[in-house]
Amino acid sequence: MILPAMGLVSEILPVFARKPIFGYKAMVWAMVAIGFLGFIVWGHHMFVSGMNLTLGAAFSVSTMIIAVPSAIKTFNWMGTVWRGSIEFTTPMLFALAFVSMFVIGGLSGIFMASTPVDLFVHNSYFIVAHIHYVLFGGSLFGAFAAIYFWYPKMFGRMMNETLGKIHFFATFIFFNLTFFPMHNLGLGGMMRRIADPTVYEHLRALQPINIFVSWASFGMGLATFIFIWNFIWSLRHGKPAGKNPWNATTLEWTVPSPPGHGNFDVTPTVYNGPYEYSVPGMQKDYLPQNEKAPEGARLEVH
Amino acid sequence: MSTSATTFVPDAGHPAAGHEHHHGHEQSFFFKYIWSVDHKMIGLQYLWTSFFFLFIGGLLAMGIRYQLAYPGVPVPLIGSLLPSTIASDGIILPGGYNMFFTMHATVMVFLVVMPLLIGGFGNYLIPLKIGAGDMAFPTLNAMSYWLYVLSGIIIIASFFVDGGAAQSGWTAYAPLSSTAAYNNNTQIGQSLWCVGLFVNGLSSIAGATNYITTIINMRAPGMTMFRLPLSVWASSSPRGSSSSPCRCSPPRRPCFSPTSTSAPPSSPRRADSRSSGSTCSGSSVTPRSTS
Repeated sequence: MILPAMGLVSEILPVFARKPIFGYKAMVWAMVAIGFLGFIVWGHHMFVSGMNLTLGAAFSVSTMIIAVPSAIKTFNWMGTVWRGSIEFTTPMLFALAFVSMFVIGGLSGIFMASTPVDLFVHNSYFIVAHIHYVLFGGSLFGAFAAIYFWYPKMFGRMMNETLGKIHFFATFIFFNLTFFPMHNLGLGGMMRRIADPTVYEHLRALQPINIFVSWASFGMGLATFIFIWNFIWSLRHGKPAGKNPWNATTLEWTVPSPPGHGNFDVTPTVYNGPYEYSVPGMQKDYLPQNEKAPEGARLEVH
Repeated sequence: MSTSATTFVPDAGHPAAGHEHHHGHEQSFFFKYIWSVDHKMIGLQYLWTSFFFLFIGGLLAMGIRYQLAYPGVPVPLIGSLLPSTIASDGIILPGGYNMFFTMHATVMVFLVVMPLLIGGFGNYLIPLKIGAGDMAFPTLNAMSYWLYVLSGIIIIASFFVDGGAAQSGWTAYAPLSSTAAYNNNTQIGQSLWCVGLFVNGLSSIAGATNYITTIINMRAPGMTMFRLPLSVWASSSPRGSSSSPCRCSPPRRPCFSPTSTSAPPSSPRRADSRSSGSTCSGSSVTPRSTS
């Protein structure tokens, strides 16, 4: 579920860092590895179900191994934005938030992969915090980044940047206020899926945190209305977007926004890899995939 | 809209396309926006539909958080509108809370994140990024979308049946999901949940078949596999490897045999944990045991 978001963010980071993606082939094989390893980690949901400890150890190891390709991707994203000339547009902010929130969720995931640790934190709010850092901070932030990024292609108009940034900062701040204290709730002993924490003696002292978390989540819910408003308002009143508002290289930016029926009037021919930004020896700082490189341009090898 | 029919329009090669009308000329509203086989429109349909479900999933999350902050306090404004399986006098019942977190997770995972990222952006972007005119199987693509809508209707409808929606968490592990006593003595909500996810899985498999065929066969000249943008890689590898088999996973199968699921709870401890509202954490190790 996180993989499509990873792919979308990998498109957005190079565009706004004006650099090629760092380690294209490593990214591809990391994705394939995550897709494959995703098969053999399901047991990590069931460490406390009374499964054989040897089997639990096997699932522990496979779960920890999946951290390797994930870390490859994370370091490559960092390598991509490293010393780039970064434009902090709304999609870029969401993409950067995706990377950083995914790291937080991933780190708590690594030590939960260890069975002895998991025995303590499983079925507590620690797990809830982890899943939301990965699925909300990961997938949904990636989705927001993608919506802001491809909206001009889909509807022919730009979304409002100011509203977008307000939406980003509100969501980002309230997101962390909502889900970070859940780590503390979980370590404090709050179980997952209980309807009424106040009936448990040891949880009464934690109730203020619960109320705080709830109000933060209401704030996050309200922030979403900014997004809905921006989305609908921009359908009619957004700034018209040309074919290629972000100066990106991939093929969808070579057709009108929105693309007509059949997408391409003439079937494009592809000459380059997808991330040729700031190519040495070129006038403009990006090289669309369907344009031949000029003499003397030093391309990434693809 | 461009009216130029190229060789990439899937219907253009069809013998009937010559004398019948071309797509893209004067399509009625119905064929353009509703019963569309154009990958861009289907992508947008996925997008809008998943926004709708995102709203529902968000409301359920607000319900969860309200209950955890103010247990036993009637829900303001909408409390009296909630069905009797969820709340009485506006106060959320433990069973209703179980429905909230179960359905929040189900909606968010299966009706929001996967359709939005894979269905919406995958559909819209894959043909555009690889230089193709449409998906390999446009009709299958439309079917995939409508199966998703159907699954969403089934899953949301389970709130309004006798006994209410599923309560066993989105993992639906077997003892909990297959015992009627944990589901308001009816299994209807849990069964609908299973049917909904089954249909959702069909939608996923249809989409996965389409995506992989498209990416392998319909790349523009010069678009080698290692010139594919990473999002195309990302939407093909998980679809091929993990999504299809996961959808047939064993925990969901017991739900399809309702005759074997009406056994009463065998241990009184289970019943106790239910009455305090913690159906799902009753038998597990929690940090509480450390103190």
